[in-house]
Amino acid sequence: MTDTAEAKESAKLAPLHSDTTPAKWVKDNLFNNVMNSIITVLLGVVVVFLLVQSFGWIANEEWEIIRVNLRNFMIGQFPSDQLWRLWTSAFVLIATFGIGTSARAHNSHDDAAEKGLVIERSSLLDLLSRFWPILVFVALVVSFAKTWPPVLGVIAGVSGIVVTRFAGWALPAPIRSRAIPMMAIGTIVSLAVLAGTSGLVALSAGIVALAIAASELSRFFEGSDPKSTAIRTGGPIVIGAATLFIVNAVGFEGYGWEDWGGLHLTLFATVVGIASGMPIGMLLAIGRRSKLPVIKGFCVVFIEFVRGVPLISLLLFSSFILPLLFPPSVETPETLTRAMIVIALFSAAYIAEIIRGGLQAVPKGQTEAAQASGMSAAKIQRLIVMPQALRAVIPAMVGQFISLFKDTSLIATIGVAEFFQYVAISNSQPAFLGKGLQLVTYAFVAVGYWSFAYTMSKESRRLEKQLGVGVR
Amino acid sequence: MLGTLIGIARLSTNWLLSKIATVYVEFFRNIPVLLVIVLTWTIILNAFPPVRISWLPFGETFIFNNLRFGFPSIVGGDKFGTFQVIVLLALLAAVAAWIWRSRLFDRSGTPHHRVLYGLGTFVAISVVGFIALGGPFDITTPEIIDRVYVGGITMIMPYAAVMIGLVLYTASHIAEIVRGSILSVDKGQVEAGNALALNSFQRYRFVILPQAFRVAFPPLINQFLNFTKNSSLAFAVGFAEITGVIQNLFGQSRPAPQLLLILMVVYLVFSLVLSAIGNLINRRLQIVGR
Repeated sequence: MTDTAEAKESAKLAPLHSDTTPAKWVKDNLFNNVMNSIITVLLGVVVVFLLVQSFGWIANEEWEIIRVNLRNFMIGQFPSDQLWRLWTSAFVLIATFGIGTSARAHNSHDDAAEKGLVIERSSLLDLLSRFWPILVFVALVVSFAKTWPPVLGVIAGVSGIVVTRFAGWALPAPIRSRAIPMMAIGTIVSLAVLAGTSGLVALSAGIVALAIAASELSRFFEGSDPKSTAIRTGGPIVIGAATLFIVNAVGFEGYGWEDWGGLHLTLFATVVGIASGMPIGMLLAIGRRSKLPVIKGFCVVFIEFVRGVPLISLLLFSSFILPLLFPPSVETPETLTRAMIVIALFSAAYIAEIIRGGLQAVPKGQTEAAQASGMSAAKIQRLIVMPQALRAVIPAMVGQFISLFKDTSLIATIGVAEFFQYVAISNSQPAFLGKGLQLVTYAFVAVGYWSFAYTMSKESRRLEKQLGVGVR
Repeated sequence: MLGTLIGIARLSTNWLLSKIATVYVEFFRNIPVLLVIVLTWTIILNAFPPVRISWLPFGETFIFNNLRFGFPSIVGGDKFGTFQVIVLLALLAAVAAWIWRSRLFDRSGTPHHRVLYGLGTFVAISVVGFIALGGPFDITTPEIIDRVYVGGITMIMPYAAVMIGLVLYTASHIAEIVRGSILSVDKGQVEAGNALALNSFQRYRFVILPQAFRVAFPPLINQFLNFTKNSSLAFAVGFAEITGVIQNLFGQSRPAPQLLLILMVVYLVFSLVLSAIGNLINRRLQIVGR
């Protein structure tokens, strides 16, 4: 972080206006020698030709197909009278994450100030430059909207982001330090609004309550007398279990992901794939370094097998073989659930290899030092090795996230109506059948995928710079 | 190859060239490969005419329509077998010439010109053989007679679409690998090359690329593996490769588990063999003693 202070200093010293004129810039960057001049002229002709062609194409094509199917592309066949669930869940997410992230930014700002450093507070303009591809896509979607509610909703959402950023920054310190639990609760609430309270939502609510209670209680009872230890360990379990039962008992019906579709499902499937793949992957990575031959063998075979076959064959496995593996007493899950099981295992295998790389990057001296100070094996992994390993692999993990986001397009091939599948669906509607509008829909979908994936890859590059990975 | 060129282009001093390369890479890296394949397929389907009014460039030596591409090819006469042997011998002679020039260069330092010598030997022997045998092969051009393709070699359109799509997609990934590995070469090396008055082509050929390739090799192997696995998506545009065939068989009420097992084992063997070869080469490439 001292580097940023120095960088700031040198930025102050640099001249405000560089003395390059446009003509000089063109000469330096486009015509600095004969070869480059030739390349520039040739490429310029090609670029102008392509731009004219594609503008002509955009102007002449019928975009009605997207206007009609816009809702399908975004959320699939979600029931019309239940749309409030989607909006509410989206707004809850926006509000909690807007407040949470800016509260955390304020915290790290204060931390740095305490240590005598300066972190530039990121302005709205920075956010704009970081997330412009998504904003472009959102603007595109809004421009295709036929009615007012989605437009107003999007405007409300965007202004909500702005408002919550300032609100989060202005919160008092004790609340700000609880930003992560707040975001977790927000996620659970938004899921509950959307999908109802039964099953998985209740379970995850219980787990989150347990984790929050554990951290809060241990913060509250700092002492180590027997009574407080009992409360610290027993309390969270009671609270977590109680939350599970209460949430389960409330009985709020919703729409599970079998009813979702479109871009909404694509994004959600990606998040679920990574979130469930991460713990499994971590276990696999540790298992692969185990000294016990059975565990190690199992992990190696699993990882190499999953990495060695294409995802499509695993998805075929999920739709043809997985139903055979469930006992007859259990109801066979829907196609999407089975696909998600496979996707979670698939991403787990890749994440395991990434984490293993990170584990290898942790110097052996760290483990030995921890052993010398008398820590248990589990504690060494949890407190010493894993934090360092995970920090080293964050960029690779984002890369995996991006490729999983792109790979979810494959669940279209086993008949799940996600973003990509709606190209085929919309083109087989009677109104558009045989009109050759595939290219239009493909272009729209491509922009959708591109905007999200490109934003994520930009973010990962920013993270890489921030963490200084590879510049030790 | 395309990937390497684009990777170098991204580092070009020409602003326009490097920006175009960047746009290309960022576009193809960030959309799903399945989308790239079907997009290529759709574009070809729309851009090329139907069979009846096929596009026949270069005096009808090529056929392009939205079902098949036809290219001219060679067809062997009576003495074609002999000619093939002669070409093989020419190749061996060319390699021998190459080695001879290299050795001479190592010993005495005379300029080797081994590319010139090798190619010269090959062309000379082949041409002599061609004339001596009195023209052992003819060139045939593809034609459509009664909806049947006669002569030449033809390529069905889905195959072309998959190949073009996958090449475009993989090239964008390889370009990034190449760029990263070139950037990883120590700047002093480039400056040293400059100081020795090497021109920019020589700098790349003799100084930068050999060192960059060593860094780039493991991720490249990874890309080849991905390419193999991505080819399984060809069924999406109706090309009958193994995944497509097996999906068809599912439809004919063949036992799914066994078929799927075959599919997985085939890909697994491909992957394991490829990565084993990759590791072997990688071990030889690495600098000894590190």
